[in-house]
Amino acid sequence: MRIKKSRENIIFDIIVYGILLGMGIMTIVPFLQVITISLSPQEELAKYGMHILPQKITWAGYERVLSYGPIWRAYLNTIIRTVSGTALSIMVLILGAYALSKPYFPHRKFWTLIIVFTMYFSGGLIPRYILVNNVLKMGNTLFALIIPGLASGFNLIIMRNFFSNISLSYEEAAKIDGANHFQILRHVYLPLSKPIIATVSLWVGVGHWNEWFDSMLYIRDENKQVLQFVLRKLILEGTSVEEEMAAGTQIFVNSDTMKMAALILSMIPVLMIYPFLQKHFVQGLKLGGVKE
Amino acid sequence: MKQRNNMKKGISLVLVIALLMSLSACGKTTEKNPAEQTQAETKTETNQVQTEQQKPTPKEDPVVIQIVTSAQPDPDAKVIKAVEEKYNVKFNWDWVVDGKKFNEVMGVKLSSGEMPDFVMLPDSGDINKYIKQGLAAEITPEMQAKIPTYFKVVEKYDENKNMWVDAKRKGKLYGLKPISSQGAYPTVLIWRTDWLKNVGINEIPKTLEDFEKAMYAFKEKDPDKDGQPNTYGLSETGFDAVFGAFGAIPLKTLGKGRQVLFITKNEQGELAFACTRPEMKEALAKLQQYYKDGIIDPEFVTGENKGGYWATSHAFINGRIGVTGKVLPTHWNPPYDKDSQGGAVYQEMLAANPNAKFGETFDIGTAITGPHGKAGLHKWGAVNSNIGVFTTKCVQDERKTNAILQLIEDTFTDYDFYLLLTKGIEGIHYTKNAEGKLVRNAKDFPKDNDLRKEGVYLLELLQQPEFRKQALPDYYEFIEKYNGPGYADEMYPKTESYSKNISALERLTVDTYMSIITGEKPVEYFDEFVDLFYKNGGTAIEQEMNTQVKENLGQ
Repeated sequence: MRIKKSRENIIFDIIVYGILLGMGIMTIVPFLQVITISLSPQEELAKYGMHILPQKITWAGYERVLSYGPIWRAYLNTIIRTVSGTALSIMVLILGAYALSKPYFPHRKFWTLIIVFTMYFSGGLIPRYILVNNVLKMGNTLFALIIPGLASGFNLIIMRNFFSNISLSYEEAAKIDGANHFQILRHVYLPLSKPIIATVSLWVGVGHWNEWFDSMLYIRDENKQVLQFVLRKLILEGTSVEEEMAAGTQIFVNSDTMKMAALILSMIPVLMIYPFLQKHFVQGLKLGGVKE
Repeated sequence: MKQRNNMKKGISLVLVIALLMSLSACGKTTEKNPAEQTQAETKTETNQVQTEQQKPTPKEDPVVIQIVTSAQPDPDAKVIKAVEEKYNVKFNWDWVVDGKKFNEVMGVKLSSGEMPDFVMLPDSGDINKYIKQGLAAEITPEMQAKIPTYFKVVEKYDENKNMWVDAKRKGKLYGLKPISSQGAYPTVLIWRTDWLKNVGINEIPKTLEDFEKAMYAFKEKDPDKDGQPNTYGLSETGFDAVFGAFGAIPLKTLGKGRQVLFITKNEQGELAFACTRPEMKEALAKLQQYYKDGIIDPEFVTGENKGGYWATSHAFINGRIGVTGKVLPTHWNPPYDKDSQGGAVYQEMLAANPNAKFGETFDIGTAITGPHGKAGLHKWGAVNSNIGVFTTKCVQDERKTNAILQLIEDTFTDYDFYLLLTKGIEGIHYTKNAEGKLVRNAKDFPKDNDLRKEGVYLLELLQQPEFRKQALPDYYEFIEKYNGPGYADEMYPKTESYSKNISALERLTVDTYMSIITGEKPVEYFDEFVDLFYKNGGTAIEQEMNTQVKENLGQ
């Protein structure tokens, strides 16, 4: 049976698709501009107007970026940070969420409250810096970038809610078969919660990939800086007259082609991972949000 | 019930732990400071003993000096090693603060209880804050007496006699200002000389009358000979020529970026805003006429620069407009010799127009003289906006201050030492060519950053303008050729009402200027604007600034 579309429905569809199309264009156009600039020679860029499609193609920008040492070092640092940060984070989140999801966990409400509390209030930048740098002595190490954000309250609650939806009967059945909590978590919960793990990994991973402020704050050694911070420096170089006055000399200018090529190179890994995790994404969000 | 009791217990436990932790944290800081102080005291004591014997024994441990930097050098950089040996010090570069977010990062690091010894603040307007926080220490007359050459050299460049207004508080000096010698030269206008020739003008205009003729011809006589009416006379940066011809440069830019309002001295010799001066009304009337007649590029609203290096005018490079400004000659210089590449914008111009030639297609011109005989373009001013500060931690240890002061003084008196700090080691970082010019080893160190890693630039704490001229003869010979009249920015203290009101006033000014130029509002609106400007904080800022200057200088 086909449902006949009423006129309102059609108008509604047109509006919705119109808005979605508009949003799509707003996202795609700047992206195309970046790609085009990264491929165009300088004389093309100096021309007026948008650069949506490349008129002439040159790989000079990419060649220069790829031969620029600090970017490779920073790339590696970011990969190490993202992979180890995400893995550790997910491990901690799973363990925490598992415990919090059990109705028989002693003082469950209190512990949940403490975690929710961190979602509303935080100590702020200065106490965090003192804690990480002075108390934990993590300054200038990779740990300063990974440990402070290891377990975010929001992710933990989302994951806990997902775990709470898994029927306790599974656990009882596993217990009868002689499984302990670690075995239950490993063999029952993990296979059932792939969507939420994929979703949260994506959040945490992309967060690590894009983060630069903590690198600026904690890391002193240029060889330990992350990619986004190096990129930021590269792109902001030469954009203000004050900088030149203070330097007292003309600064070396990176061409826009090189800057955008660097941007594209930094985007590729995230772009490649996204499609594989996307199918879990919607499902994970939906399931984590609702608690019966 | 039981659960609630447990919860109470839990909460009180957490509170107690928090209390204990905060107490122990307090204890730590209070314990640490006196310890540091006594250490510092013993150090100064031992130091005094040694200064009595005149020469410190070579076995004495080097004193550690922390200087704030934006990027760490290699730990065993030769330049730094050489300086360390010279002064028996050890530099520590753990204070890395990114220049683009300086105050934010600096604030966080300071609040954690650490302090460097010497720091270059990017904006001298912030020094108030750092004095209040107890970071900036007074540079006492005794300390000043140790760097006589520094004062002698920099004060020569202080043409407005105002370089210390924001470095001093109640007559006491809190910071040392660097000089950027190229800022002492005015910005210039860049002309399409081929366009001028095509419309029958053989000389770069010098008066407003001739300027106008050229502008109208650029619009009407098809200067690029493509048969299309697609050219304009000037755009946003060219306004400076018109404003200057009437007697002042009102603000940094009408386009994107922060539109800093410039301060000048009025007839009474007091600091005052330039944008409200009556001459500006005349200039705006001129620009309104130009806009009406279509000789101003309508895209001036968004500026000439479309991204990338700030000094590039894309409107000019693409042949939309025939004159551009707000740049130094050295942005546009052709290569001096086979070892150099030419100015940054010169290179972009050639990339976009491979057949362009300096002197034929484009050339550099100076200020335009107006109907009342006034002329001038904007000048950055030789006195930089940043400022070098000794911290209160540093001045506790005389060895540190003496070493830093001696380093500054030596930079100003010893040319070879200056070269070591700014060019590196001969044979490694640079070589001398047949004419005796210094040529950077661009093969191993293509970027400034590569040299910075090697320790070059880092220890030139304050720039020595005269040695810089000596080391870069071509650069200054070229810039000197186009020296002309200019309006230099006055230094002024950023007072309380300045910080409170300035952004609203900036907006008001830009809106007014824009709407008068585009003809949205009549020129008479300028009087109303002046009124509004002074009612909304302009008066307070001017008064506070002038009293603050007197107070700062201890008059």
